[in-house]
Amino acid sequence: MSNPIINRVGSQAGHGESQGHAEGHMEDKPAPFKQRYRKALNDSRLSRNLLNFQRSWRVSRDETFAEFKTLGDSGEKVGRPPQATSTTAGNFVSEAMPAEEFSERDFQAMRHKLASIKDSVIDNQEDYISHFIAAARNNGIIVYEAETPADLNNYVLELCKTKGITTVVKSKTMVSEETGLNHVLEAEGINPVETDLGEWIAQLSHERPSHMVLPIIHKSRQQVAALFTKVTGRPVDPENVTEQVRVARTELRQDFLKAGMGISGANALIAESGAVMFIENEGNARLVTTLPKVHVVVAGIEKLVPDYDAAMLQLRLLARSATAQPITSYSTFLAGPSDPGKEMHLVLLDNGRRKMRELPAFKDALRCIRCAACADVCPPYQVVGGHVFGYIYSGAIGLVNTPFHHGIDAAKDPQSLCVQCNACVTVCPVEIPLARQILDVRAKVVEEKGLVWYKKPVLWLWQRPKTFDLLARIAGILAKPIGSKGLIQPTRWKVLGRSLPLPKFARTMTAWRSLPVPAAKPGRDLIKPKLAAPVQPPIIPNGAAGKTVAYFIQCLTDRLYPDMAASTVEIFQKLGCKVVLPENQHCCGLPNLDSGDKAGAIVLAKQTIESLERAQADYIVTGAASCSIMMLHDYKHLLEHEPDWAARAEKLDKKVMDFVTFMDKVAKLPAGALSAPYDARVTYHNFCQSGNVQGLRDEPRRLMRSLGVNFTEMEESNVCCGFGGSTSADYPEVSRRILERKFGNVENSGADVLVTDNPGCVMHMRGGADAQGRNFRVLHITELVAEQLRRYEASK
Amino acid sequence: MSETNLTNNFLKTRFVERATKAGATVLEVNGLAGAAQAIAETIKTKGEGPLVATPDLLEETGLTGLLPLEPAVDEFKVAGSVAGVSPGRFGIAETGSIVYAANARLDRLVAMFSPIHFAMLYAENIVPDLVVAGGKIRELQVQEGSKYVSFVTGPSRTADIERVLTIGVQGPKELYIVLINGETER
Ligand code: SF4
Ligand code: SF4
Repeated sequence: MSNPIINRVGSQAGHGESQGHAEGHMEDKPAPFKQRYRKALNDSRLSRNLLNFQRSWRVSRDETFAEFKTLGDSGEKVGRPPQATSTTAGNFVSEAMPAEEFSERDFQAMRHKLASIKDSVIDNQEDYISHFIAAARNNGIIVYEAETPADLNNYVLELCKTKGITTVVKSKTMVSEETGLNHVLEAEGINPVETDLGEWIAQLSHERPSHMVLPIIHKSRQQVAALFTKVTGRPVDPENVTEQVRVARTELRQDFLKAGMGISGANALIAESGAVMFIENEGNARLVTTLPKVHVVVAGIEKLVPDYDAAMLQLRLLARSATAQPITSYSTFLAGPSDPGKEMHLVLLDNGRRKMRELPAFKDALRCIRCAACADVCPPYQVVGGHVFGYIYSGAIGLVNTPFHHGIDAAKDPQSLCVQCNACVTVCPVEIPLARQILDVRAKVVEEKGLVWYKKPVLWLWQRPKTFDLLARIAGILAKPIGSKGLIQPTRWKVLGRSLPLPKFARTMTAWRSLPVPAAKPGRDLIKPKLAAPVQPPIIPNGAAGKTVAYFIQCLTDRLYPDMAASTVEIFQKLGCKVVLPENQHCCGLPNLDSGDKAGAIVLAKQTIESLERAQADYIVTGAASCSIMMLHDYKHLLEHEPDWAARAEKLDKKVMDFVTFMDKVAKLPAGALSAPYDARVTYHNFCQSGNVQGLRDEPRRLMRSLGVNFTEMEESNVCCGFGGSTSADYPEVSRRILERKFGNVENSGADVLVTDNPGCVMHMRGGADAQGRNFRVLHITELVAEQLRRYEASK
Repeated sequence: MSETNLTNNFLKTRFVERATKAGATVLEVNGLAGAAQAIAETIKTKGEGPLVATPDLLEETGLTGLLPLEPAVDEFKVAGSVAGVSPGRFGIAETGSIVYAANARLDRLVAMFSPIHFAMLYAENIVPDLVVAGGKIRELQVQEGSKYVSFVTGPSRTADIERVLTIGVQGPKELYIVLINGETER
């Protein structure tokens, strides 16, 4: 797919990372990516702070939504007594909520509703904008439409100059970060003072916010104290946060009282009345919008909502998603200058938003309400922070909107940090398909900048199954002598590194993780002889007996874990299935898609579709959940410009499934069905896409129950292991640190066996556990089931 | 008990529960005399400085004569006060919020700039949830021309430094909701 518009944004002079802003304020843009990346990795406090934060955010965020849902589920509407259904019960009942409001208590229903409301605005954007502008003007607001950051900055600058304003107080606005407004004002001798505590601290330290909601999440109280001591000239207690907050209150009061202008952002622009909604906890935005004589709102056009009802729905979702509060301390609705002599301006910024709207793949991102939930669950964000995972906007949304607001050069590197775990998609309060959009950005980057050199030959080869097969077999024979127990340990790699010219990335990749030896004989060779055998009666009654299963081996399993492939077939056969092997099967195309090589992914997707179509089977099952998810969720988007192919892909949907789903929905073994003596304690890692895309949470646990194993749940079983396909090759250090988080959780659970359903995760975790001498085994779910079947048979 | 009373009690209970959870202190009182007494009791220990309300709203509080209220003539007077008092329009049970609609700058400043804030609310003016509240703001802004409408939920707070929750950043450090039982006396 080609994206002419991003292309245009990307090549627009002056907006790329390498070119600087058009305004020429070179020093105002973030440092080069590599520098930011190194700095973050060397800052151990950063990832520690973020880990604690992500953990506590997750718990409290889930609680606020659960609490809200309970209020509705108990049969009463929030704040309404259960009995109050008749019109005599109180004056508010005449305004009773329609029945469908009940379901609004549920996060899914609520976010779906807000998403569709925002879509209706996006689809009729120009109408809403003109309606809003007319209403705002009618309220006495002076409205200016800024197309570029420079337009916005100049407007504010001119306003200050005309009125002789030298001090400006600001409340939080990401838009002014986007345009670099402070810098422009400072260059002209105007003093902009950030009054949100975190923003003020960031400003004093000449930094940018690293999180949209918690700007200085990367800093410690000691650093804040040192900064405040320097600014005030008085000692500030390095341990006492309350005192630090008091310093800010005292210092900023002076600025509030002398400022000639207040600049605020907006959380919503309400079209029906021309009012601006903003929410906050500190109370600084209320002062910014009240004290100075001139007030300027700066806002992106994506902030439009139709009416107060939508604004209320946004309130319910926003505070819960941003700070895990039911509502923030202050929510304000401002419909024009509020007292005589007051002047209110509103600058509406485009800066690439209209271009986003023209692209079907990206327009959904305009629903964003800037809650930062997508950063709060993101594993690589936790490792590197928002100065690296993003540009001006951070978190998943930052990877998506940066090409539009700041050019493709600025987006090029940060986007490659995404491991595609889809966690962001599950919490986004407006249902933005962030992970898919990041892949689209990645594809665009590859289209414009080309692939990283070391991926080129790999992906080229990948598309050529026959050559690949030959080379893989040769590699298997050559590698055999250096491996031990099927793995090549870091020490071996070091030895290899001395004799081979291994590139640096290969060294970091292998320093902490053993990698499997490619098999001389792939899985398919082991399986084929078994398929001729007549169908056996099932060893235990189950729903799959008598069915025909077409087995999609998956490239990794085939080449690296042939025994895993053989075990899988063994399971099907013991359940009484007939197993067939679709001819010419190779790879679903995921590695290519994941690397941004969309063209290669399409070639492989078509090969796979052709191969699977020919299989005469009731089900097409794979042990690699990543592949079935690719087939079920990505093929249609990938093939959207070739409707015939998309239709063929869709036809396969009914048959394609992952192993866990097959066991749960087809085989349907009851709890304890396969009980057999087995001492080990087992825990389960939800491969992130199984959990986040496919929604498999209960299914694997039901399967565990049917095995009758001693199961123990670990913390954060939904959080990615750090494999992330292409990311673990590009950023092995990030990958390693995410794995450490996972291993910490596994060890805390006391489990002896760690099970998951994706071979990529198995490779990553098994290699890590081996190299680090962890004392738990890592098994693929098919390996555990096969083992248990054998124990079950032996026990009978 | 009539159904109306049942409903009002339910709303009041939930309002008090949610406002308290948000960090406000609710003083439930009977009538204006009760309100005056509760405020007087509370500020006893809060240090020096006048108790202020804006000239425009002094009347509306109904507290003149009951409390030594001084007019808040400018922001400096507010900043130097011990506490400010202002009448809230209505409350929201779902969130424990008080809603203000104050066009005049000084009226707002009393609620924003004073170190302690007393928000007066008649128990009968509590609406169930944000859905109803949204309709009410529409009325206020579209029909009545209220320019500046705010929901206030608990005191001013921040968690910006190491996520340590700290109360009282730019807005009031303490929020008291004086919840008045009995008929609106105006
Ligand atoms: S998919 Fe995962 S890694 Fe990528 S942005 Fe979303 S949460 Fe982060
Ligand atoms: S993309 Fe979604 S989760 Fe991320 S900031 Fe925007 S609304 Fe929040």
